[in-house]
Amino acid sequence: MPARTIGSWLLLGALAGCQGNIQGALDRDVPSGTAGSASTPGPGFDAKSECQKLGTGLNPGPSPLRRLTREEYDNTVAELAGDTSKPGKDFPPEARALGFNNIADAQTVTTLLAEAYKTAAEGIAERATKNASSLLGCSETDGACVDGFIQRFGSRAYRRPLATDEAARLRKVYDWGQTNTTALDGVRMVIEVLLQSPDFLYRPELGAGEAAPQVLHLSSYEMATRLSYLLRGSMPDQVLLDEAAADRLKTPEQVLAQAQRLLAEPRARDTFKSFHRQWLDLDQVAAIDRDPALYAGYTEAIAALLQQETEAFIDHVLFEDGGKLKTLLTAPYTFANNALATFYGLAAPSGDAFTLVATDPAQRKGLLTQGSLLALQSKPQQTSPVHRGKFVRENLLCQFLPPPPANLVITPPELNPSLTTRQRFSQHSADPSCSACHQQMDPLGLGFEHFDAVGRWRETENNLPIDATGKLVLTDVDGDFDGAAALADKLASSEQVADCMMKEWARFTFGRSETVEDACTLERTKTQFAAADHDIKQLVLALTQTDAFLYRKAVVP
Amino acid sequence: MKRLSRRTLLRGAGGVALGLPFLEIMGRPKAALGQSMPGYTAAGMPKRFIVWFTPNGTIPSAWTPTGGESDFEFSRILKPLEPYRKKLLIIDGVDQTGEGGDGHQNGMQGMLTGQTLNPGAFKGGDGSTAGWANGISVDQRIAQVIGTQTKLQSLELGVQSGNDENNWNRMSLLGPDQPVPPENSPFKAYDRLFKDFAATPAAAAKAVERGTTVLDAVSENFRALQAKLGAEDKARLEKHLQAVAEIEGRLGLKPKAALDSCAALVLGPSTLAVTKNENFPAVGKLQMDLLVMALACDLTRVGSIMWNRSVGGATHTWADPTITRGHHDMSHDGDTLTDAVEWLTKINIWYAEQFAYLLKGLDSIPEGDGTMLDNTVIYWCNELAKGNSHSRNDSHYVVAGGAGYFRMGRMLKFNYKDTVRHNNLLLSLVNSMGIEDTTFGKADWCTGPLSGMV
Repeated sequence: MPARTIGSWLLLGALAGCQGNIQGALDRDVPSGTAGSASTPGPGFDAKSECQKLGTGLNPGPSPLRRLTREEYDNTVAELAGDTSKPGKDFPPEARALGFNNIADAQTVTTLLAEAYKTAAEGIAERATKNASSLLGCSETDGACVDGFIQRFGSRAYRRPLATDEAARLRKVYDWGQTNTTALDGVRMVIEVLLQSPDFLYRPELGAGEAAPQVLHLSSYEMATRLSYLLRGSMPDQVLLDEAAADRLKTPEQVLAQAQRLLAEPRARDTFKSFHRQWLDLDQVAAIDRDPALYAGYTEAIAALLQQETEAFIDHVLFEDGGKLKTLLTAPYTFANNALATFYGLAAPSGDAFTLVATDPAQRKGLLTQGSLLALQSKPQQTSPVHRGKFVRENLLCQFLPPPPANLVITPPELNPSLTTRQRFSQHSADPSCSACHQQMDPLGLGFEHFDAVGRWRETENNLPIDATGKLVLTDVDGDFDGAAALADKLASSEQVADCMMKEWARFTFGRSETVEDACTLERTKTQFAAADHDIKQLVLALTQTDAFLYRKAVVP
Repeated sequence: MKRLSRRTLLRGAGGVALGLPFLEIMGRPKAALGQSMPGYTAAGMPKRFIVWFTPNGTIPSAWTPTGGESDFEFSRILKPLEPYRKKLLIIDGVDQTGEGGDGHQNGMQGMLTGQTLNPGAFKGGDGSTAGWANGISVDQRIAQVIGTQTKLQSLELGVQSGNDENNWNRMSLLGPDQPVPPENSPFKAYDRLFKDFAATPAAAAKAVERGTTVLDAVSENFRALQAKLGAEDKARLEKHLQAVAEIEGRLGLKPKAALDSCAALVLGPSTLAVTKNENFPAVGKLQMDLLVMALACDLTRVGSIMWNRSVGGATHTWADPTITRGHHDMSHDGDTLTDAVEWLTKINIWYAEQFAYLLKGLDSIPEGDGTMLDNTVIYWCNELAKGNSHSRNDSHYVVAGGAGYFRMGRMLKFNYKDTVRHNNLLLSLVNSMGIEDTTFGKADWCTGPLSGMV
């Protein structure tokens, strides 16, 4: 069962709780990939020593059958059938496990989803056949013409050539239409079948030849699909299909060359956008509600701009400014248009277009000091040092914190116009039943106190001066710091943060959590990421060179 | 509203035009008089079941009625239900505590299943450490038996019930780790229900054959691929294949027990932003109207309405214009914070008013000697008893309608110290549909039907 296997370690972690001592901080990188896998890494998992134990063989880890996400579905039908209506928006919401929507073990199927696939397929078929002659290039009543269409359209839908019996089944469907409704309807039915078939909706991999005992090479078509959904978020482009047809996606060098090519294409930017949207929960930003009496100037329109700011910033850092993790965390600039800069009180560019705006690096630098994340981890009427701290712990350090004990009456400190947030939350550090866990969050989150609940800079709160000193514990960059900019510098120098980034990308890339079998995959990627001065694009390229990406285990029926 | 006579409807749904009362069409359920078939009342009326969920606990002091079993006085929150007094069974003090996850997760997953939670890894607001419940939910169990004759086995509707699939956003399960998502858009639900309403018989028959041809080919493709895959991936596809088979199996189903009141609804502009906070009441009303009509047209016999979601943060300004905070956020406030307590009470009063609206809809549809409400069981539940404590051991429920099974017009109070598990209540609900199960959910937690219900 997906949910069961994916998080068994998280549960163990939670049961352990914080146990009244700070050693209870738990590693979030844990769960096993597939049912029956005996190789779940525990909280103390050390990739380096585990890799030595694995020896020199190939260790691809599990390759669970992956299904297209809604976004991938939309991109695919746009390229396959020219249908830009984004039918995926009508599918039932998808699971987000480990933060991502492409984790195979968490993808469930219900009648509602199957129905949605059916409805979408019918709509796409209907629209695609509106101009039948351009779709087919010949007459829909001509059997040979339709056979050609089935082969052509079908092999693009399946991302590989169709087998004879597959084509024959589709032809039979067309024949029913030709006899009972119309030939054109027969063509529609063919499209409906293709778009509901598992070869389209999923990414089956049967492998092609042994690379080592029980380890298979992927076929070039399967590799084209892996590369394409990672870097294009869509079906393989013509170059990939041509390379696959010539069986030229077999060696690590061939795979790397294509990955580099795809990374330079505009579509790669969408993949990175999608990764960051999910990693940072950016799609939640637009819905942030604030008490208008307390946060004048904050509106729904500003919320949308906050999301745009972060997305424009990330895109710029990755594709225009070297792509380093350090830059993401400490760049002395952000992106804004006139409305947003005015809201922040920054030097305002004119107009609605987003442009680079320099910030005072003593106040604002990097991702963590942007309104999107600061507001997302706040409450309608106040900041939340707890959530801000927890966010850094979980998303940047890959450490997991258990929820408060069940049946505990939680009485958050009341708003008090004569106290600062820091003062109100002091109970957490005073009360031992709170402090065991909260010392991992609050002293970290309080470092952001110069930013209010919508991300604006403030020198005072309730006419009292802001104290934004904080403390990091249980990391490789422990110690005191003063303010978010200082914290950003610390995090940017942390190996643990770089490691976390690597793991997040590995999960996104492989569509699963890591296992003990991935020890060498992780260890080698980590080394290469460090050698590239933590260039995130180089990280993704390195992931395409791992056992987990290049191979799969033999299929056990 | 475009009104269709039953005659039109039955013809439209692909059968021959039939103007006879439904019992004569389908033949009276074959059971001795006074004994009912599973899914039918003694008088031969189809039974229906509805789950009604509202989130984040209630304010118990304003919820629990005072007085005795049959002379109770309506509380402030339940006051809007007073007109239906004789069709209500109010239940208080049953233990809904389960195992696994935090309070909300545990409540949400256990509420309809009576099961423990399996481990899971959804990264959510409160740091979830649990996955899905380890078993089927009560509505889906009932639908397995009474939902076999209708276009949809069951109809799950949501009102801003969340964009992600996680264990706060789902309450129905087909089995362990198999969540059923609610449809949050009334417009999409409408299409599912009524899109093929007006086809001619010949066209409808052909459409069924066409649909079968397509889905047969799809199924063949599934089986062909399954044969080449490893065991785990094969199992993944098997679930999908079953869903396809389920759709195919229902392609030709015609409503058997549609009532004269069945009519296609006019929903209003489909531009209504269904996820926008201020549209919450409007979306809710549409979902309720749809559910009532789906039952009247016999398109399904099992439904649910999930208002918001566990940990739902809707700002209920329609319950009181002075409310400025999200529901869940407020529900954490201590008992002494009177603003929040008053607002939470108002929110729950508003939900009771909506519940009354649903009852009114069902009660306005004549069926047999009574109304559709009389042949329905509606179950109002909440994942928590009380928001700030996340407690579930002293939970509150309303059962309405009764389906000729429960003795209505009463209040049953249990002492939470006796730990009467809600598994017993869930079993009673299953039994009320004429399904003679003897246990529900985790077996150790179920000692039999809830005492005093019948």
